[in-house]
Amino acid sequence: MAKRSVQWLLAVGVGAVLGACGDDGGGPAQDGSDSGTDAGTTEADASTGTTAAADVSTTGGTDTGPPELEWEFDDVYGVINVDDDDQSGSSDWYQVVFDAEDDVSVIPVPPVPEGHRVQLRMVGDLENARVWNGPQKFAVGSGDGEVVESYEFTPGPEGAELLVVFGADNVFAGLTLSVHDSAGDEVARADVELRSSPLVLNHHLQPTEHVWVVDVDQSWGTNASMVAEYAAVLGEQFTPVPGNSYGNDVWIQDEIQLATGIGAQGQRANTVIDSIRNRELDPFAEENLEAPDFNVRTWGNPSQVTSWDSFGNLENSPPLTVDGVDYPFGRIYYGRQGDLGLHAEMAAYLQSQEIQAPFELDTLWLCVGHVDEYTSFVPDPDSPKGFRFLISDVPAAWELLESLDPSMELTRFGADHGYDTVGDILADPALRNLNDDLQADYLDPMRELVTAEFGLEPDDIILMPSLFEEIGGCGGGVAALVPGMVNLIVTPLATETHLFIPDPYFRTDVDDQSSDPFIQNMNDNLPDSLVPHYVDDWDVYHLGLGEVHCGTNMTQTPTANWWEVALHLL
Amino acid sequence: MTTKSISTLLLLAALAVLPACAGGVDDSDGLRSTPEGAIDPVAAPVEARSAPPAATAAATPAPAVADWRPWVAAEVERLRSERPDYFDELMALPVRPTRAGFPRLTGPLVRDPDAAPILLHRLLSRAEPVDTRAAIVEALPRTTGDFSAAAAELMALETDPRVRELLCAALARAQAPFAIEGLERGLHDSAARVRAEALRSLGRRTTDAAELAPDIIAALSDPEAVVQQEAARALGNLELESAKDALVARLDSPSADVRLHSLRALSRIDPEHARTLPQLEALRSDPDPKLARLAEQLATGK
Repeated sequence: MAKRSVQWLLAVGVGAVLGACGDDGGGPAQDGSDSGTDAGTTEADASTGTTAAADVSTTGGTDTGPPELEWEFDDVYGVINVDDDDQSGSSDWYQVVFDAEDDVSVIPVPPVPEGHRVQLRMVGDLENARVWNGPQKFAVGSGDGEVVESYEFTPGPEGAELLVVFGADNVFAGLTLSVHDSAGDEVARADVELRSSPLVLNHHLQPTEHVWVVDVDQSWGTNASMVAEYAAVLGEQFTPVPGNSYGNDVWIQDEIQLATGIGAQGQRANTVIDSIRNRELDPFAEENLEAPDFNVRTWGNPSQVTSWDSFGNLENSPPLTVDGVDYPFGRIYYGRQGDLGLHAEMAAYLQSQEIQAPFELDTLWLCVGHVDEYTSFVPDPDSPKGFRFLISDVPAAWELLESLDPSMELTRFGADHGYDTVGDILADPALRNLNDDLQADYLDPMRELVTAEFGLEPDDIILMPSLFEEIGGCGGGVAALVPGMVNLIVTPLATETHLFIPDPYFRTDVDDQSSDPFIQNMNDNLPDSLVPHYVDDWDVYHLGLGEVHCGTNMTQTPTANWWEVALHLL
Repeated sequence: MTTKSISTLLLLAALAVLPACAGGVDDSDGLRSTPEGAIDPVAAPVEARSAPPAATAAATPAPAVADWRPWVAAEVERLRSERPDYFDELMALPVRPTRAGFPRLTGPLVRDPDAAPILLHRLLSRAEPVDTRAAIVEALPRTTGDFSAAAAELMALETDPRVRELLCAALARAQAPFAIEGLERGLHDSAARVRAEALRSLGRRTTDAAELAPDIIAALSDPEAVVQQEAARALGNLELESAKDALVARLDSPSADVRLHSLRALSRIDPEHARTLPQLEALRSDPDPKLARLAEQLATGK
């Protein structure tokens, strides 16, 4: 049961007061061939559901009795239409419906008996929904500078097609279609819900469609081996982005967030949320992704940008149930505490979508400040929830290190982190204090919080051995000392799910991954169904204060129909 | 005389005239009295890069050279002769933006002890943007080469607080006695961010930072809460008994972070004493949840 229905809209009087004249406002390409009408008072007596059926026998009558008329319609579950399907340079929302348009929802209207007319009355979010009588005649909703609430027309002998278009995500409106006989009496009526999909962020269990990584080969580092691994595993589903085209800005996770909306008539609206981060990758979305069915939008003021506005700081869980409430599209989480964190405008928009019930985590203690630095999810078909939650854990790291030979040399850690051996790390009291404090002050409370917000059981959680270090000049903020293996990419493919994980290089022989205790620990803890790939991200990402997830982005396939499984959240 | 040797003499002359002065002056760039363009470094195209050194440089730095100026000049001369491609590449190595936004100088070229004198040469011979100079300074420890005496002295010469802040960070991995000398300058810097970073580095130097115990304890009374907080953290790491009274006095600080780190430091210096502090009861209900948890843990032993 949805939180709101057409009857609810009618009862609370959302939208304009019924009775205003119809088509005098006019929408794009309105030809005025049909007439506006004074709408009568509407009664809230129809049932809700996916099909709105009319009561043809009780609302008025004529000398000849009610006509034989099947007057019922499916509710409309559509998508936002702000892409540019005809590539005219103008958002489709501001155009008449054209042939190439594929984001409209159709309401077929049957023919009515001679002398009868059909009246449309619309309530709710009229500013962000529009109904056309065919592709050219504007009917009700968002018109040319004003909203129009009612409209009257006579379907042709073949009936008519009402085309519903939405100008925003998560729009909710109601449309009443009533049939009036020649005397003006109502002989049939149906209420139809008009909803557009909320903006839905992807989660790690959705099938991977396409993956991008910025390819760099610079004097400060190369990610050639990581790119090669992606290409080998993903084949045509992977595209390296030429780094020299984007100033070698490798942080593609941070620049854009992919989201989708799908409709019940097969529509799919892809949204690229383009961060206000606006570094060298800023034009990437417009140059590579913006296309028919791909719109690019931005929330927030770029002049107020912080590191928290990068989308490694915006993640989403797999589907879950919390305290009896199903979240079929997961729950969004992002780093924000008080006034600091993800831009308030972005956060408010995500909140307004309702379906993924966002909540905040504390990332202020991190130099970069993103949730992907210490949390993630991986699929696990064998677990009750279908996934496992990963979170950084300091005690797990100490336990792992204390099981090792202290004299074990750490080839990669000497120069870049100042530790030649395992024993050097264990013997550094300041490092131990720092990490123990991080666990007590942040990681433990955050684990407690996500356990509640995600409805997790202890077995749902994989504790990822992790150590952090302070970053000079970052005001005491920390970043991963051992490459943050939690900062990984999940790519569910047709037959297998592959993980791309930062190689921790916690070993003597850098070429021998089998000798790495962090890799061994990861392999031991990962669900058996997953195929891990430990990729070299040291120079390009790790020393740049990020890891694999920060340098990867992807499109994914929606796997559930929101109107079937998530109306209780809307 | 070759052009390179003339350049070396000019560098020596430039270094010789650098005046020593304590503390920093905010909001101005560069080294005081550093003659710009004293050296004409030769930039090399990236394509001409030499094979990266093996990534096996150890954390233990090379022995510190006290008279670092002629050492840098001599090393520059040597490397221009023996590893000209490497020298040129490192001089041209661009900073790259970190995920956090500020730039860093990283990668295989940096992981080489020979990088230290070249980076110092680059720092002193070029008028580069503040962020670049800060990145060069920040990279010095990753070279595993010697930079200790230079960093200590540069703390007195550098005019930009961002660069001095990064010098303090680098000094955490520098050698004695220069590290302490430089960090002492950092403790008395005019910029709070520099004083705070100096305290963070001192807190990491658990073997010798106690030499500055009085200064660190005095930093608990710094006007800036962030400096007080870092002083408390450093004292906890150093487990300085002499700091107990001063730390107890900070338990009623208006800053929750100062209260938290003071209590935590006390728990590290003398856990028994911390458990019997009369302030503990009130701190158990402190509005800051981190502090309340710590106080609860100390009071109950759980």
